[in-house]
Amino acid sequence: MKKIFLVILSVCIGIARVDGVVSQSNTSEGIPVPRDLELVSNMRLVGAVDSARTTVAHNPASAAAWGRLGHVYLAHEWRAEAADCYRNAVKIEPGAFRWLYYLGRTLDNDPAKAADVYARALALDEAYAPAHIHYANALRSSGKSKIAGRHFERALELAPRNPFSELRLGQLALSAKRFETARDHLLRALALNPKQSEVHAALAQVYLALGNRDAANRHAQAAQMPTNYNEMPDPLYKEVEKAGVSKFWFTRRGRGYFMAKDFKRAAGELAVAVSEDEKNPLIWYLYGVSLLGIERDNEAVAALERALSASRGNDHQNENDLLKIYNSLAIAHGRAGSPELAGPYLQKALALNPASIRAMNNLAFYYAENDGNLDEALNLARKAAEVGPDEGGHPMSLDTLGWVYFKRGNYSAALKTLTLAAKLLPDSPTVYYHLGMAYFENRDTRNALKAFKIASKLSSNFPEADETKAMIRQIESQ
Amino acid sequence: MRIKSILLRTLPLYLLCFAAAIHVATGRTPPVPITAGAPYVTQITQEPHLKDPPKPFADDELSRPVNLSAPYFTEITSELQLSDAPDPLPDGTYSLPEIMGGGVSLFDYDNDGDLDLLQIVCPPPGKPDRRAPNRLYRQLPDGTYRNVASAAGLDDPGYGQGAAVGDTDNDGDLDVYVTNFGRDAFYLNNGDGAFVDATAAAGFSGDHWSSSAAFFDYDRDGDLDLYVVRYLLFDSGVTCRSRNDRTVYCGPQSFDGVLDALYRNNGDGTFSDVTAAAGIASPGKGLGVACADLTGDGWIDIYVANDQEANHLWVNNGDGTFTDEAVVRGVAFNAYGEAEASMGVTVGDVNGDGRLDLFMTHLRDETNTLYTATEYGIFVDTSEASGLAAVDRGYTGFGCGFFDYDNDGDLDLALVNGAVRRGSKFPGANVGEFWNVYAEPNLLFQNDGSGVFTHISALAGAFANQVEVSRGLAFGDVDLDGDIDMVVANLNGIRVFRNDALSLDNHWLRVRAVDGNRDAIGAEVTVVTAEAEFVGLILPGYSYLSSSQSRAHFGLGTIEAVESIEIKWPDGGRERFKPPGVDRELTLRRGSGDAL
Repeated sequence: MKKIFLVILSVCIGIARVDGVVSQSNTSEGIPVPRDLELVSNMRLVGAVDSARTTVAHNPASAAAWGRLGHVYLAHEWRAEAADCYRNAVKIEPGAFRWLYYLGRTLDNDPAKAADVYARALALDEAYAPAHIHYANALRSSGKSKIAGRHFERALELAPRNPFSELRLGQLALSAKRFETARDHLLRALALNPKQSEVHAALAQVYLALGNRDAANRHAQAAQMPTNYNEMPDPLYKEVEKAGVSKFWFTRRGRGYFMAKDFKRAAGELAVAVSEDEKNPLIWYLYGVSLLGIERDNEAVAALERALSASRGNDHQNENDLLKIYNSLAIAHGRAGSPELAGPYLQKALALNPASIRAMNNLAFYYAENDGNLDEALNLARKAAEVGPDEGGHPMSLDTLGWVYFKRGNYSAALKTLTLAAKLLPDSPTVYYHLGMAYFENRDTRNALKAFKIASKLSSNFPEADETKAMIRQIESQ
Repeated sequence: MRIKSILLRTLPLYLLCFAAAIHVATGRTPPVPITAGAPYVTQITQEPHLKDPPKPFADDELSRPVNLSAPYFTEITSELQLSDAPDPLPDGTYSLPEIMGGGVSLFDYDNDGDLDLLQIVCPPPGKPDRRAPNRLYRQLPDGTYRNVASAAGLDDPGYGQGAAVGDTDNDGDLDVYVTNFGRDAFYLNNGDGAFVDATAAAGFSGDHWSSSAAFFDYDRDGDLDLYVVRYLLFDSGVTCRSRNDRTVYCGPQSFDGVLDALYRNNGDGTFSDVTAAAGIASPGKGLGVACADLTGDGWIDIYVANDQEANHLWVNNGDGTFTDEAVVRGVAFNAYGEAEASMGVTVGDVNGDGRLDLFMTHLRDETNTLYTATEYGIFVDTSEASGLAAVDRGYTGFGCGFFDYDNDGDLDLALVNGAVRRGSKFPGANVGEFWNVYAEPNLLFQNDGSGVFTHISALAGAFANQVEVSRGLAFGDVDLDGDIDMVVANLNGIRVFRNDALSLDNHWLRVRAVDGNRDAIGAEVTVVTAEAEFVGLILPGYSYLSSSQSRAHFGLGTIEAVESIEIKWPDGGRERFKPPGVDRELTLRRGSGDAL
């Protein structure tokens, strides 16, 4: 009982003034409450806060309970309240690295204080590479670049082949005008992750300073590409992200799963996100495509129709986004048993952007597959296939062109084109199925069988899998 | 179900990222070094229309007891009779335009020798479509101001944002381009105290969200061209929420960016939109602009501060076209390679190395960024080493400017703040419950001469004490006493801060560079003394949505004699002048010095 009293007392003191900073939060029964919580209308969030606070109230001596409440607050931008919670966790478990680490993460806007906290955390356990990264960032932001460099290097020792440390070391060297050193770090970062725009941007400057204008321009151009990730995996911080229950977090997690092609989880998260924001076409689109990915085709059609109607109310809807919605709707209708509804969407996509390779390719393939206008299919497929990869072309357009040739009965042209497509897309079972068909119609059953078997080996679950198996059986039975 | 294949062939394409094409840089000529020492002929015109020419401190002033605790800036808005009461604050409807503007401009529209003031006005709360006439305050002989906008015809009623000021027809008076959330407007000064709306006649059209704008002569043909920064394609139907699901002002990422506009002055009263022909081809979400020779090749470049996107440095190729070199020169992103929410921008030589450095303001939790020019043709982010980042991370900066407030010979820094996201209430905020959590104090930094700054807001008096939602900031010697005053545009009105900083026996010099009938916007002025050289610019267009006095002001510290003044004119011509002395404003007319 005495212990509980002390904890509550220390909480009150801690909340009133922590490390010299007056907290912005209110307290209720010694537990911090955000001042603006009463203005939050999202009952899921209110419930999450209430639940975590209740757990603390019942277990005031539990660092985990305080930490959980801290996670809920930190995930929802209540940093001061989160900091108070983590401080209490630290008091209860002074030897635990993680509470100090989380406390540091609440202090991103105060690097000097954050650096002090990270230093204390690393004194307890210096083997967590993300802590070195954040410590180094805080040190650098506090003007202590030299020590920051040592911790970026330590993170590299702990997590070799870590592009993030190499990038930061390169940027530090660039700031210090040590251009050769900067170049070496940055090139190593680039080798580890070629899609980091920050690396390209820094390399552009390094090369200009070194007098290599061509290389500078090349990297400046590459810097325009979006980066594919720029943070070191951080399992501890994942716990904070999991505590997020606002639309932002459901969308973010959904998008993350979507990008990782984990469509089941993506659909689960995005289902909540669309219920929170029914007017957002992008979220409906992601949800619809995720549903397609798990073969809930009718629901996918409904979701994508919502994406389309939401986009109609949006004057500045990105043309690219609209194209994606049209294409996905075509696919969804096709898979939901209404291929006749797919064509109009593909035509709309092409009308929206007559130069879109994707739209041309998809409509050509649709015509080829659905006994449509094969002359127009050939026209579109040729245009799409002529575009090189530098201009947005895709080798799948060659497969479409080959398949259009096939449907028009021009089997020799089909074989020639599909052979090239298979070279460019060696992992596509559909291309090998098409190639097999082209060989077959060219009366080369040996190579046809070979192509069909490759297709089957590549996947047992691709759209033409049944037809492929049937062709193998047919040839082998001859 | 044959169409199934389309999913398989389309899905990877969904994941493709689309990159905007950029224009690669071309070879540049090396920077022109600053030189001094050749003999010269003196021909200086003392500024003719100063009502009360500034003088050095009088003996009795210096003998007065020094009050070191006196604030450096005193608010004199009411004294100047500029406004009786603050304007109403916006409604707080979470509509982005209501939180972005407007600016303020300091210029002498009637050529009577003192600074008049143009306040750009947004519509009244709840009535975005109602007329919101801008206010032109004329400085009267007694130093007070009176709103003459209606009589002068400068009461543009649009949803005001900012203004650019310059003599576009070379007739010796200043014309005004007003940027709006909606149609912009261009006003030609008749020279008789009145303006005429020449928007259509000059060839300006379009309905955009324009933010900052600046006049400069990019093609060296002797007249002022115009760069208009455009913010984004606003959609009032888009609403945004924070991570804790409260409604917030949407950030720029919720909208598409747009192209800025470059207008070439045809010399006949009309302008042509040459944006595409000039290669200004990358859309952005621009808020601030400064036009100066940032590459040192003698041609004036364009720097655009973009909100949460890479900034643009449109390098003048000298042939009517521009190339974006922001990435290669290190001014697109911060030191971490991250795009920041750039708002205001200013330019000046902060470390006395003769090269122009850049500073821009950003959101809370980002640092403002100081890009210091190097001898390698690139800029380096020195925000942290300069001492600025340790202070300014907790504020959302908008208007900003380098100026030597104490005439000690180096460029100090002032910036005005006001959040766009709810934050903690600063002590002293008193602008209503809704806006108190957006209000922030302004900041003043003192330069030690090497580009390292000390935070001295505690000494800045009213300028930093008043916790409000500030946006525009303009600089000029409002009271003609030889130091630089400031005018701040808040969301609910303007405030004028008189410079009362103690400058002891520091000397100063202010240069008006005139080419033909007009101020030579873009001219680079170098003051050469036995002890040091000082580089300044004739640059009214910087900060945020604002325009400042078009003079190059030099604090000289204890230096009492200037050997020469060199001017690099916007067309590349160079001339040297012999000044008669210090502590005065000089008008240096092109052709009256020694050509270099």
